[in-house]
Amino acid sequence: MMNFWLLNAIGDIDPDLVERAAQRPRKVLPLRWVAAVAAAAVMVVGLGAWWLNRPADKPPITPPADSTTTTTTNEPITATTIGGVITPTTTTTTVTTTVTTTEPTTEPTTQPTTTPDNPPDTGGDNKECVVHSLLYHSIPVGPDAVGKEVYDAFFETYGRDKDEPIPDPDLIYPFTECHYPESNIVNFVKFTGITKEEFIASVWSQDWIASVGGVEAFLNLPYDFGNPYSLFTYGDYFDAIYGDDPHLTAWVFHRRAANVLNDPDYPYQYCYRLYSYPEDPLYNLEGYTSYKVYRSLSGDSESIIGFVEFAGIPREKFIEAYGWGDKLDEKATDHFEYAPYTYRQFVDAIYGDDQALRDWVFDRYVFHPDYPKAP
Amino acid sequence: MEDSRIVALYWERDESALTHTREKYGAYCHAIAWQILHSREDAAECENDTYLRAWNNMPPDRPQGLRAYLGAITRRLSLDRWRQSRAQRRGGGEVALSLEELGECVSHPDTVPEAVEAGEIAAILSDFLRSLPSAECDVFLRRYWYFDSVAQIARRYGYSESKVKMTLKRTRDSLRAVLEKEGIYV
Repeated sequence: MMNFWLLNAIGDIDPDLVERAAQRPRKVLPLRWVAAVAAAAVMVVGLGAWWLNRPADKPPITPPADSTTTTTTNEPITATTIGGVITPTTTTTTVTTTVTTTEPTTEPTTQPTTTPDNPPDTGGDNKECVVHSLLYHSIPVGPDAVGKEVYDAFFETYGRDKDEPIPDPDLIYPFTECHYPESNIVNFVKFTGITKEEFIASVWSQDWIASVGGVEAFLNLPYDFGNPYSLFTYGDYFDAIYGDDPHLTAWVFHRRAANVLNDPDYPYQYCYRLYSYPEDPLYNLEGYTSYKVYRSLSGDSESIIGFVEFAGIPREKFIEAYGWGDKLDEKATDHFEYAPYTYRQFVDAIYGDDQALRDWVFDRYVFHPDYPKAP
Repeated sequence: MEDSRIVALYWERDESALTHTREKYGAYCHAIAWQILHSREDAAECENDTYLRAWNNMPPDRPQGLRAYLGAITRRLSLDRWRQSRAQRRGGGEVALSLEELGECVSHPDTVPEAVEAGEIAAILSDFLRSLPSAECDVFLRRYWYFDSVAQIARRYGYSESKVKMTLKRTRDSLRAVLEKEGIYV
């Protein structure tokens, strides 16, 4: 194929050069970032007017029964499209103060340093920017939090480049589950006006937050369901969205984007035995996220066996989820072409008490030296 | 775990070498495969195949830099897979763009020069890249080794996209001159 010999030859160059290019460069803040901060400060003024004049009929967040009331100060959102005067506001927000009985067992996360990585682009006309993208499963901000009209209006505005169709239906921006890089959380909070407290409340009202030990424990939890390799917490994440520290914002979102895919130094634990993809049937079963949190707190390795035990998934439901009902005695070629075990053996390995079968199957599930040789 | 210890585990035929490799370099290999394939399943398979290839190749291989060694395997496997599925893919992402850009460096790209078959061109390319300022070398490799987009490179190094494009253009022009000088410009 055209030029492939050259691409392949580049692949065979001195490994030291490749290694050097993999290292994250040390950088200084570029002038454009300083300019961006200044611009943001000007735009902040606009938020104030909008904030003071925003509709007063937003549905209140209903507190759980065992709540107490605390007073917090909203951080101003840092930009808006409407001009005006900024005034930090004080509001009364109800947060759950459930006694925390379980603390995360992971190491404390690294705090942002005074020399953050190069600040990311913040969107604008850069259609390829994915740095701030985050509207996916882990932060379930949805219509309930901001109202369906506003929610839909956001996607109408930012959901696509209005002048162009989807550039490539096969291209999903990494870990955003989204074709549109501007459908990001920073634009979302600007557009909808959801406050930091409302945002947090919309998250911690989810069951899995309660399993962590409440909102405070949640905010101290390493990002990505307590992933021990996260370098920032959920609290850092919210501060990065709403705070006025551009270093923190740059650091968090740069790390978030880089951690997952682009930073070779990030030892992201790819879960072979319990897939973290929405496409995997187990992902949508009840208890999945709770198990993820449980696993992160307990330090146990993730596994399908651990999950079905934790979530109480019956054998029949497991088979149904994967659609294996009519092919249980076929080889599990969904796993890999030369899988030596059948779907039934795989299910038996998970649900049965035959340890020998369990060892045999899972020894071959991913890492068997014979793979992919036919047995 | 130190790379040398992981390599030693391979030589001892200890399967924990695979686990340690995955923990330490799984994300790296996955990122390389993702940049080329933009498919989770394909990237995951290439990552797995990388471990298998490493298992089969060590011994006799004893790489000094395990990361680059694994990355090279992943890159090659991912490119092979990309080529196989290219006809069914829409567009082609950064690989297709890279191929197009590198077309400037050769006049008859369908003809594989003898130096390639003799395995000499990698050494020539290495010498060429070493002769560049490190920043230009890194930008070139981020583009044509890791298949980063121009925007990704710009973010990584704090450059404007136009600067990245210009840097790449200059480097390709220089590479073309080197290939001509070496008689590889076919």
